[in-house]
Amino acid sequence: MQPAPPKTLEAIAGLLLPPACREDILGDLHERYTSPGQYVVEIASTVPHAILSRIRRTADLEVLLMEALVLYSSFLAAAWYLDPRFLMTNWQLFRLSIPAAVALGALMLADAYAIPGKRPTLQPIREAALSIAFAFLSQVPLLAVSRGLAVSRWIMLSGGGISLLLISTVRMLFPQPAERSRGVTANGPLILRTLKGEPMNLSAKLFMICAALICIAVAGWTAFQNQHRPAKVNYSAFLQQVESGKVASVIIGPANSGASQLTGTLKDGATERTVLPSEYSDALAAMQDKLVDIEIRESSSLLMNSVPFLLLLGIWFFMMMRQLQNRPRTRS
Amino acid sequence: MASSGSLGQFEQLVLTAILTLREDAYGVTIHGKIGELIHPKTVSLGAVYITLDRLEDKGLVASRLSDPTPERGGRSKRFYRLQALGERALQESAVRAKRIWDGIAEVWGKEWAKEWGKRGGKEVG
Repeated sequence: MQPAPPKTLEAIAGLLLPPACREDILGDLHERYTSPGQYVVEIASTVPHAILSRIRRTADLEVLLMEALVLYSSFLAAAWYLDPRFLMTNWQLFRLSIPAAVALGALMLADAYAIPGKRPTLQPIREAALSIAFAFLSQVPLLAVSRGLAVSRWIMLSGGGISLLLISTVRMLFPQPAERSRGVTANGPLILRTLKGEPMNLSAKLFMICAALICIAVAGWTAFQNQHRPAKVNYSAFLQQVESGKVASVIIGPANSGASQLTGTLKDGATERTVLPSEYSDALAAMQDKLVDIEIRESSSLLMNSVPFLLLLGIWFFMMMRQLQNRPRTRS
Repeated sequence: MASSGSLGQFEQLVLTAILTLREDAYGVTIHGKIGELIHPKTVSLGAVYITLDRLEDKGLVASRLSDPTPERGGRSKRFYRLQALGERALQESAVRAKRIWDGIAEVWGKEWAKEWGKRGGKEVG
């Protein structure tokens, strides 16, 4: 009787192999089986090749570029919106690219492991959620190595939320065609066709141009802000300037994590900024004493802050409804 | 008309294996035949799969799944056969290899060519 591989090993190999090539490769491995050791070595050498081949066949460069831009823009926008100071420091743009890159890798794997011919309606949302979950997981080793490498929790949550909406929308707009079930097309895989310069469709081009423009605008605005920001002085130096009567007016921003931003204009026209502690009654008294013009700005309401997110949610909901309406009816 | 393009050395080996195996060309037999062709070197099964996928994407080979067989744990075989484009690409490769061979034989002599021809035949056989 021909020896057969242990059921457990075969089940593990089945889990690791992408569904599109699982049947024939598992059969080949079964036929070649001689011992558990030989089987494990064959799995270890075959599975990476099979995954790489599936990624090459299923990856669509147009959609991947769009997704990369969407992911990075989402985290960038979240950082810009929640904590613009975060973007001013060194390596922050690189730090934001880590969760985006991990999420993109997860999306590529999700495509490679998709079951050929089957694409449930909620699949784009599931794939987007999976990729964001991987982005969150990527922060765990970074936190373990050094806190400085990880992105803050609120930026991750907001960036992840925006990415979830946008990535699922992109995947609904540009689904994998049925012909990609085995990655074969008349002219080769999609990634090669795109690299060979075959034309992109118009909506993909428009989408990529818009996403690229948003990225450039955010980066440009950040650089502009950085260049035109008032010089930073520490709290004690600022108090000294108030007491010596050099300060003409101040604007105190809303408190963020207990501390408030203060931008002051000196009598000679120069501007400077400092961070006020949560309790700054001394500074306030000194400013009142020196007749400094004080303006205190209140924080914008939660509803106003949520407008961009609610807008995205609305677009996503609209896309979702359209997708459901366009779904072929199987029952009359 | 689509171009067959130039083939890599391993792609030539895989196409040759499919050509010689005729109706019995699937993962295990193709891997075995390549093992004979490149002896004493070896190649992994994974490298064969990735090349088969690439050749299929180029339209040089086509594949189909067979019925499940008990000796494979009730799983199907994926059989490969050469397409017209694949045959043409293999012919072009063979012609190119022949020209290289003739060029070398012209310089090193017919005796050398005969000797190496016999050795090559023995190693493969």
